[in-house]
Amino acid sequence: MTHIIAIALCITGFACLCAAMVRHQPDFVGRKLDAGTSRMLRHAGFALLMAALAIDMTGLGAGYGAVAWCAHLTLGAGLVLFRLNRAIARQPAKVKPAPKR
Amino acid sequence: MKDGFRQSMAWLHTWTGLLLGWLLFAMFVTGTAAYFQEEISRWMKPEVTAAPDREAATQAAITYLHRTQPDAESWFISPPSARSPTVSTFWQPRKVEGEEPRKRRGRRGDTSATLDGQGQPVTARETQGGFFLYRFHFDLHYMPVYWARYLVGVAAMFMLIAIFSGIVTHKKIFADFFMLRFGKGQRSWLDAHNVTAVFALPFYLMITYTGLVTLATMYMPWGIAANYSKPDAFFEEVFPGRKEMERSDIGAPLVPVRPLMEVARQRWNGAEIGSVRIALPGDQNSTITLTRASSGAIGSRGESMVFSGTTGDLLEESPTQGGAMATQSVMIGLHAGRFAGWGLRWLYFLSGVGGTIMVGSGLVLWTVKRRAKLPDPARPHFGFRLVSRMNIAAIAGLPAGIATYFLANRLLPLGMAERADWEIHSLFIAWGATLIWAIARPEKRAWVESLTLAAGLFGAVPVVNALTVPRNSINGLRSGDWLFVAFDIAMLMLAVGFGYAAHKAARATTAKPRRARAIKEELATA
Repeated sequence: MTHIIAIALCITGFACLCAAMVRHQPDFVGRKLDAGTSRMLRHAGFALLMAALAIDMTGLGAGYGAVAWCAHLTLGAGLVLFRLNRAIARQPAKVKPAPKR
Repeated sequence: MKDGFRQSMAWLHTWTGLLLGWLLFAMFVTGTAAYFQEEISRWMKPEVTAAPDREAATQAAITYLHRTQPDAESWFISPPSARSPTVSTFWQPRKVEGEEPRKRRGRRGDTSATLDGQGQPVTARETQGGFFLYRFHFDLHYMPVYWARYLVGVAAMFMLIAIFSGIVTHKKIFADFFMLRFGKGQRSWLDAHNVTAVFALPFYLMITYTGLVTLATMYMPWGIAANYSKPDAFFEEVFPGRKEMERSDIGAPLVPVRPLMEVARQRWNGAEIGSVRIALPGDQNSTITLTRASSGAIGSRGESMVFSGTTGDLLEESPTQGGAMATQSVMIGLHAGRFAGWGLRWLYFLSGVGGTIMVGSGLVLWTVKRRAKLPDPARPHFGFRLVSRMNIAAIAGLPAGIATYFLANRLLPLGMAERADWEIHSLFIAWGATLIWAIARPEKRAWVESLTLAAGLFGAVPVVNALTVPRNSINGLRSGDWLFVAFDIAMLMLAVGFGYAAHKAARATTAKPRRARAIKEELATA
C-alpha cells in the first residue's frame, strides 16, 4: 500500500515538474502557462516528491523507505516520460516546426 | 577552460564506457537476472514443489546429516525460505592427521546435498539454475575466479569513472530531463542513453560503488597487509564467531533445533534464521550457530547466536558491529537486494533493466556517432567493424544465450552426464554462434536477424515448457502456481521487447535512403 501511495505521489510530482517546463507545456498541458503558474507547479512537484519520501520512510522504515523512494522516483519519472511521448505521438504533424532553410 | 574540461570528460566517458562496455553489459544482464535467482532456480527445477515448514525441515536435515555424515567436522544448513523451497546443506569432512585439508573448489560436489522438507535428497534435474547467472555476474566462466574478479573489478571502476564523467558531459541534466525524441537518428540514441542514465542514476551510483565494496579487500589488500602478518589473522579478528571448539571425543546427542530457532527469532524481532552451522556434531563440545537471514534487514551480514549443542544454552552472541563493518554490511546488502520484498525486488529488477539499456544504448551510440563521419561508409575501418559486431554479439547474443540456457534446461535428456555443465555450455554456444553470425553477415542484417533470434528463443520458452513439464501458466492460473505464470509472462515480454527492437532495426535499414532522398528533393526545390 505504501508503495502504491508513494508511486502515485512520484507520478504526480514529476507530472507537475514536467508541466512546469516551458518546452514541454504545448505537448504535456496543451498550451503555454504563465511564469507564475509554472513556478507554482515546480514547487508543488518538488513538494510531492518530498511527500513521497516521507510516506516511504514512515511506512517502510527509514532505511528501506529511502531505498524504495529512489526506485519509486525512477518509476514515476519513467511513467511521466511515457505519457509525454504518447502525447507527442498523438499530435498532428503540423505542430512540428518547419525545417529551417 | 570549462569547455575544455567538459570535452576531456566526454573523451574519458567515451573510452572508459567502450573499452569494457561489453563486459559491463553482460554484468548488468546477469546481475539483473540474479535478483530473481531463487525464482529462476525453482523454475529450472520444476520437480520441486513443496514449501515446507522451516523448523521441521531443518530438523529433518539434521537427521539426514546425522545418518550420512556422523563424523563430519561441521554441518552447514540453509533452511528453506519463502523464495526457496529446499534445504541446502554442506559439510566439512573430519580432518585426518598428516593429510592436507581438501580445498573447497567452486563446486561442492560430494560434500553437499539438497534436501526436501522430509530430509530426503531432492530428486530433480541436474542444473545450476539461477545460481549460475548470479555467479557469472562476478566470477564469469571458463576462467580462474581470481582473474575474473579482477577483470570485473576493473570494469566496475571504469563504470564508476564513466558515470561521473558522464554527469559532467551531460550539459543539461535538468533542462533535458524529459527529453526523448524518436526518429532523429543519433539524437534519439543520445536521448535514450541520457534518459535511462538519469532516471535511475541513484541506482547506478549505488550498484557500482557497492559492487566494488563487496570485493574491496581483494582489490585493496594493502590496509590488511600493512597491519597483519597474514590476511587470515584479519578475518579471524573481524569474524570472531568462526573460532573452532576442541573435540572432547565424548559422545553426546544434539538438542532439538526448533526451540533454539524460536529463541533466535524472538531475539531478532521475528527475522528468520538464514543458516544453521553445527560444529563437532555428536561430540560433547558441539555448538550450534544460528545466523539471521539476509532477507531480515538491509545489512547483509546477519547477527548470530551460538548455542551449546548438548545443553542448548546460549554461549555467545555476535557483538554489535562497529561503524565500518555495519557500513560494509549495509552496502553489500543494498547491492544484493536480498532484503527486498516483492515490490522493491521488481523495482530493483527494472532499474537493472534500465542499466542494461543504458550500457547498450551507449555502446550503439559510439557507432552511430562515428558512422556519419566514416570516409567510406561501405568499407569502415577495422575498429568500427570490431565495435559494431561486438555490439551485436553482446546486446542480442547474451540474451539469446540465456534463453537457450532456459530451453536447454527443458530439452536436454534428464539422465545426461554432466547435464548442468551442458546447460551452461549451450548458453555459450548460442552466444558464440551469434558472434560468428554478427561477423559473417552485413551489419544491419545481423542486427535484425540476431534480435529476431533472441525474440524467437524467449518466445519459445513458454511453449517448450508447456510441452515438456506439467507445470505451466494455464495450470498455474488454476492452481495458484504463480511462479510459472510470472515466468511465462516475463519470457513473453522479453520476446516482445526483442521483437520490437528487431522491427525497429529493420525499419531503420529502409528508412535511411528515403530520408536522404527527401532531403535532396527539398534542397532541389529550395
